[in-house]
Amino acid sequence: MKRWLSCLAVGMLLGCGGGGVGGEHKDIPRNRTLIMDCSNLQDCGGQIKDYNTFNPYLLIGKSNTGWNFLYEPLYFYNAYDNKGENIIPWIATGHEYNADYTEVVITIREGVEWSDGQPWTVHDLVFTINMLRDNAPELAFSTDMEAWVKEAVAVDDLTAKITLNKANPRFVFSYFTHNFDNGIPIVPKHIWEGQDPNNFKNFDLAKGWPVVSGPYKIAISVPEQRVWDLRDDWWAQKVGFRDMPKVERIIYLTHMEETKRVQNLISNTMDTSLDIRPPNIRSILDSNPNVSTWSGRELPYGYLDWWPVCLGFNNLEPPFNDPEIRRAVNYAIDRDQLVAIGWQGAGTKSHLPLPDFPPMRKYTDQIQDLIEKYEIGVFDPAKSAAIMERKGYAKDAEGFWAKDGERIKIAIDIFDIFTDLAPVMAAQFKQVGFDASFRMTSDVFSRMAQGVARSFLMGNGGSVRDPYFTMRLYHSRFVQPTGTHAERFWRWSNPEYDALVDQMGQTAPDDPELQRLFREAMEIWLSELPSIPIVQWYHRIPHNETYWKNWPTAENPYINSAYWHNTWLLVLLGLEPAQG
Amino acid sequence: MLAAGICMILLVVLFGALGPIFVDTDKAQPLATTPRQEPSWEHPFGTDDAGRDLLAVMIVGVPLTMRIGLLAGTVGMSLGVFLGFTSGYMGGKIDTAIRGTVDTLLTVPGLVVLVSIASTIREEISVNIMALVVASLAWMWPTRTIRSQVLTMRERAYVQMAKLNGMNNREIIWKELFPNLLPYLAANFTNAVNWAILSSVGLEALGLGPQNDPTLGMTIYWAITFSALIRGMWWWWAIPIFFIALIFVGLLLIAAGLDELANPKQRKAV
Repeated sequence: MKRWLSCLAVGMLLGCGGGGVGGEHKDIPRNRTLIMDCSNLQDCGGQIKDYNTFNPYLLIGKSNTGWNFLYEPLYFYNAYDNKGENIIPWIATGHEYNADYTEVVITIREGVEWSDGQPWTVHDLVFTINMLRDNAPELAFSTDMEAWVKEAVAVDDLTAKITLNKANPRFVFSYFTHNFDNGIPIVPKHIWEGQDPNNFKNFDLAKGWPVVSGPYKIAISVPEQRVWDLRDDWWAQKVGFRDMPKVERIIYLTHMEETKRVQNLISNTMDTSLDIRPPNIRSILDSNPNVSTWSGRELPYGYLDWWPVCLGFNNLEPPFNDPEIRRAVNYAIDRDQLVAIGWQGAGTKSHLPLPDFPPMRKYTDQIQDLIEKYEIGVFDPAKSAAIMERKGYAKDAEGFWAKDGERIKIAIDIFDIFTDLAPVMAAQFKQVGFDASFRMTSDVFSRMAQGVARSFLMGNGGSVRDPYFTMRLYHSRFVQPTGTHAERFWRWSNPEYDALVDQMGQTAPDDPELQRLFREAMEIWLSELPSIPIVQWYHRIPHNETYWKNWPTAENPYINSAYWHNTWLLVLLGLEPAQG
Repeated sequence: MLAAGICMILLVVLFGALGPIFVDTDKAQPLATTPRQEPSWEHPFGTDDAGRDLLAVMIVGVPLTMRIGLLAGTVGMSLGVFLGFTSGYMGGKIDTAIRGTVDTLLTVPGLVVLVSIASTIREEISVNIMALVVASLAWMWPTRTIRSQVLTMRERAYVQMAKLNGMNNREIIWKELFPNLLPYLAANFTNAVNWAILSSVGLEALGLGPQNDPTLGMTIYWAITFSALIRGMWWWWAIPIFFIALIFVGLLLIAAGLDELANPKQRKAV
């Protein structure tokens, strides 16, 4: 039966035709195959739109079905390790900055190879950096390379020197240490040189393209599915760095809506999937005893992601340009109830815009007194009312706060992932007198970017190791007038805060000075509250143990299990067959 | 049929009208009560994930859904009457233009067009906006069917007599044709309301409705979003579907009954 299923899948694919179908195919049983749906709705809804291309630098139109784990990085970073072993050297053996962080020398290990047998050298790294810098801003990551890199040169095959335009103690971490969605893929110079990277498809199965460094090769790539088979000549095994993965075949199906994912996981047709909302993951666990999660079969059914959610505001526009009004809104939020009702207890509240990862705690632990001082997380309708009255508001006949006959309205713009929290939050606001509603429109992103959305739910995709990247999100360099597209949506500015964040950017994460700068900047942020921390974000990803075991868990946190992230290779290396 | 249909719709109307006397309609909002309760004496229709009491939701939601249907039906029917009479009676190029437009638009799948319209709305969708969205396609069938009726009626002897008596076109339409078509128009209106309600429920079930209002379609949307079917929360989806079916069958019976009244041939057949 199991063999039949895999044969059927492959057989169907062979019958599908299309430009991307490969040559001969091995007969791999179901219990050596890993099946999941593609995570991107936009690029895999109905069909895998990039089935016949493999260019990781395109800004749009690339699905995370291979490039994210087969272009191996210099380092991985595991934010979940609580023993301090967060950096995992991979192709790099080390790097060293000069005294003022304007130059870094990177050394790599010997014996790394591309899938066509060519050696992986720093010439590939240097080529990638220069190619990106020379093609700014068309390619992904190119503006960063243009902004930071003055010169990248190969000292020898195993040593590269990168000179920066200005000091950046986080350069290697930011761009060449893969974590979550972060990290630049490094491509083979001998394939990409002479190509126009803006139009290069990098896909020709007859030539053995795409050439990658990871342990898989494309077996089939058609609009319906993308299939990767294990190749037996992976460099890491040859040099004794890592054993081969046990997963012999990976099948990405097209993106599925959540109900379909639930059914496939219950019927063991899929082994994992995109994260699932709390009631549905509970249904899967109830229906299939073989499915587990990061937290086992217990709440919160998942792991903390790097995206703590805040109620954001357009801080340029009334009424939310007033910090006191923002504080009144803060007192109106019962975070415990939001988690209990909205998420059925499957999550945790947040008092900061920072994720609660073990490496972050040395920073966040030292500002707990500030959280208490500014009463973030305190639900107190009386204090909210006192502020509103002080600001000249009174409740109208229907019990809503109004001034000069005009109600204060909180219309919360949301993405569909917030449909469980937003109705509860709007109801909370109504109960304390704010005329609140939520709206989910197709243009929500541009509403936020343009500032048309006056209040919105949004995650803070920033810090995973030290607080700088999240603090930087609130720098006034991102402020644009309402109506003009802004990269960050909060439109809040404070010169003193900016100065502190700029200093943080020049300070290495292990420098004790960073603690002081962070505390001072955070005190400004908490006192002004440009957005209100609400909850930590969770990935509730099902791990089906029918065919595969040793998924990452809270007890064995070797990496997070999001297969669309750039760290997915580590999960593939960790998985063990559950059957024989 | 007419009597049975009227009884069913009356039942639904009374449920919405008298319900607020017995049930606190604030309970239709999230956080109003304990979430995920099966039907019981305390919560006869159960509660949903966000703590809405589904009896209160139905008491608020049924009239809201009816309102969308009535508003959309009225707008669609008014347009249909105007265009149908103009096209059928005036004939010529006007008829060709209106008939061509209607025939073309009727070939386009309605739900696809409505989804496109609803998804381009950039503001919060209210019940009234929802009605207007649905009304944007509710005029085509009435236009076509009324036109065909007018085409036959304008050749009748009493119309010719009216013309000979010097009545102008407007007088003929309003004083001669319109009264004779009233039962037929009533049946058409009922159908238009029915179509509008089903269309709005279809859009709402896709999440393209008034998200802050507990209409029947939005209740189904929330039930789908939170997988009520898989989780065994049958009351969350079954109860709104029951009310939709009741309204649909009721309006269908009324339309069929009115059609009988308007069409003697049909009466004989029955």
